[in-house]
Amino acid sequence: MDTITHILVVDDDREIRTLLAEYLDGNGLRTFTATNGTEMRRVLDETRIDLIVLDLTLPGEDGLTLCRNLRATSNVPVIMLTARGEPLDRILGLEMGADDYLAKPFEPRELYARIRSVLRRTQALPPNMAQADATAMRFANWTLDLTARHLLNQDGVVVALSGAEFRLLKVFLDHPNRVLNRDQLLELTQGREADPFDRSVDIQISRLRQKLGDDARTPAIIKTVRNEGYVLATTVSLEGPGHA
Amino acid sequence: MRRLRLGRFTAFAGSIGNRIFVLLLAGIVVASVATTWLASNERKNSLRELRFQHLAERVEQIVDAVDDLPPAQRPLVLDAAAKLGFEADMVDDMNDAVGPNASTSPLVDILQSRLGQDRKIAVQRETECAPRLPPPPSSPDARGPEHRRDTCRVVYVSLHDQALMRLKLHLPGEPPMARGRAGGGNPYGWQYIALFLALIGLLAYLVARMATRPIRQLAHAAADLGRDIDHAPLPETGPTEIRQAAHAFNAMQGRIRRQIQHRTHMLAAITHDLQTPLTRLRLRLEKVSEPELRQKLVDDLAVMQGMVREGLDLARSMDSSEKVQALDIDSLLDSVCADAADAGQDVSLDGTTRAFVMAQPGALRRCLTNLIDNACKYGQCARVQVSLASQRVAIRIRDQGPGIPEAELEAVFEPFYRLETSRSRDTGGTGLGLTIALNIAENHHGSLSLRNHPDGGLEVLLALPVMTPVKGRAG
Repeated sequence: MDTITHILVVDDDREIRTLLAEYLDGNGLRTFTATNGTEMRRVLDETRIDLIVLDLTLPGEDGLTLCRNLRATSNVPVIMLTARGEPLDRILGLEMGADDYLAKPFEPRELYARIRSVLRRTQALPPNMAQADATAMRFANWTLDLTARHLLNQDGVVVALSGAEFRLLKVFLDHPNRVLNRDQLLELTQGREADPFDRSVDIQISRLRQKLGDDARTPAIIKTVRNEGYVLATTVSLEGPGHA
Repeated sequence: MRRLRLGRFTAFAGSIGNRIFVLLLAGIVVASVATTWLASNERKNSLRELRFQHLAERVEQIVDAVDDLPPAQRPLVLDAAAKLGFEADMVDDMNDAVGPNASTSPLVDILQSRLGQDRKIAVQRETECAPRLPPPPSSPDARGPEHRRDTCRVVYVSLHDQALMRLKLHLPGEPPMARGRAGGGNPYGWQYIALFLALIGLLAYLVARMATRPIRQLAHAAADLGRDIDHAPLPETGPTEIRQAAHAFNAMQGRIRRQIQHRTHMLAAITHDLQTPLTRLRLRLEKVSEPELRQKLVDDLAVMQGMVREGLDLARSMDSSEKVQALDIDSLLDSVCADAADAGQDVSLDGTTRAFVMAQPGALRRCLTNLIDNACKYGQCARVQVSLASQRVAIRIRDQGPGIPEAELEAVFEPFYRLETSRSRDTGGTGLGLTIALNIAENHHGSLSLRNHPDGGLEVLLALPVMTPVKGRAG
């Protein structure tokens, strides 16, 4: 990164705001803070922000609403801070609007790693705006449930995915009919520092094909493009409140 | 149950519906047999009474006739009576009619009331008497040889001048109205009995069904309640008792639901309120300059966070709102093992089932993750093996650890239970992992058990019922 990265921390707890700012500044980032949505929008108007760390539980407009509104106007990546006490589906549902999420209390180092990872990811490929509030993605005979992070076949039977498989499939579904090379796939799927993506992309692809019932010799869903990479050769439609 | 043929009778007798059916059927049959028997007895008695009255009438006629005759003419007239179908003579005393052979027949009372209380009357039952002529053609007495022997009555009666007369009379046969009934002994044909039995069988079946339907509904509701506390309440309709039971059941369901909600909310609130101070604490620790102290504090905090996390997981395992769906169990095992391997754990997976189970996918994943984490934490590795046996998916997770003392194999499922020798304090375990796994297994109608493998290491067996048998993976 040629210029210093600007981070905006939105949290209603003053202590956490200042402590986080101190920590991130200490790691070579430039941190701005905001207490609520109004302040957040003011900072966004005044300054260039590369990434927003957004608390889910804010008084007034909550993080989810802010994130959704933000998505309509801007493509600034968002990492959501959630509380473990939230209902499970709501925590997971955040994945749609936010680029990543982290449950409180978190390891500061983990947050830093995620910030770096999200920035890398968003720079590798432009994000797909359309799916801000989608809850499921349909392709071929399958539905990917983004909330529960599993696949459903045409009979409604759940086929579970590992974390790596889900991330890989999500990348393909976000960029259908686009050839993705191995480096891009690695960048896009590499989740976090603590969870290294230690298998080769090819092995992951073959595992994913197996789960999708895609024949490895004549794959119909994820096709191999010789010397280039892989492509999702099917149309993807979104399901959710705005995609009925 | 259905597979145990030996237990079939027990199963049949164990059903309250069957019991009601059998009791009702047997009760109605016994009651009808008893009333029929009583009625026919009653009819026999009144016929006998009628015959006695008839006999008494004849005796009265004879006595009236002989009374008016002078004593000298009596034997002559009585001799002639033999032609009229009875024997009569004058005697000096009652000899064998009194004493041990004296009859207490109701005939005595009837004659006494007809002829007056001042007459001396005795009746004796005589079996050896001349056959009646001619024998009545369709008399019931003509049925068998043992019935052909006529019985007759010997009546001693005193005349107005105290002379004793002895009369030997045949008991008149049944009156004609009683004789005309269908022959063959059984007044009802077998077809009537069959129809009767079929009707009461049907009645008993309907009553049994009607009586047990609310009980079955209640049992279903209770089973549903066990799976899903938010199950729709029972309809409070029907007879009073059923309405009351349904109402009480619904009230109980409401109370349980509120209690679970309170508990979950309390756990959620506590842990939620802990998040902010824990987050602050963790961020502040970054400012501690002494690395050794900082690391110790970070570790302590990690333990606290682990407890908060597992406490929440426990609450969720007891009150999960996750949707129950058909799940490809192979894909879940594959995913959980892949995730564990990605996290650097030594995990292997062996076997496929191609079976589906009805499951809450997220909860079941949590259960398997806990079991694999445990194996890796206390037994270095997790060897996962899956197979299909008698409509159950058997998932075995074996480690290479020291196992668990036999006496404690059950106790480790209790919340916060820790083995004395356990290194769990060092490894940061909270003692909730197995409790959570067991809760989830039971929510899935499965079972979870532990055993020390004969070749060493602990083996966890998670058995889950299969939804549908082998089916090709669609897609």
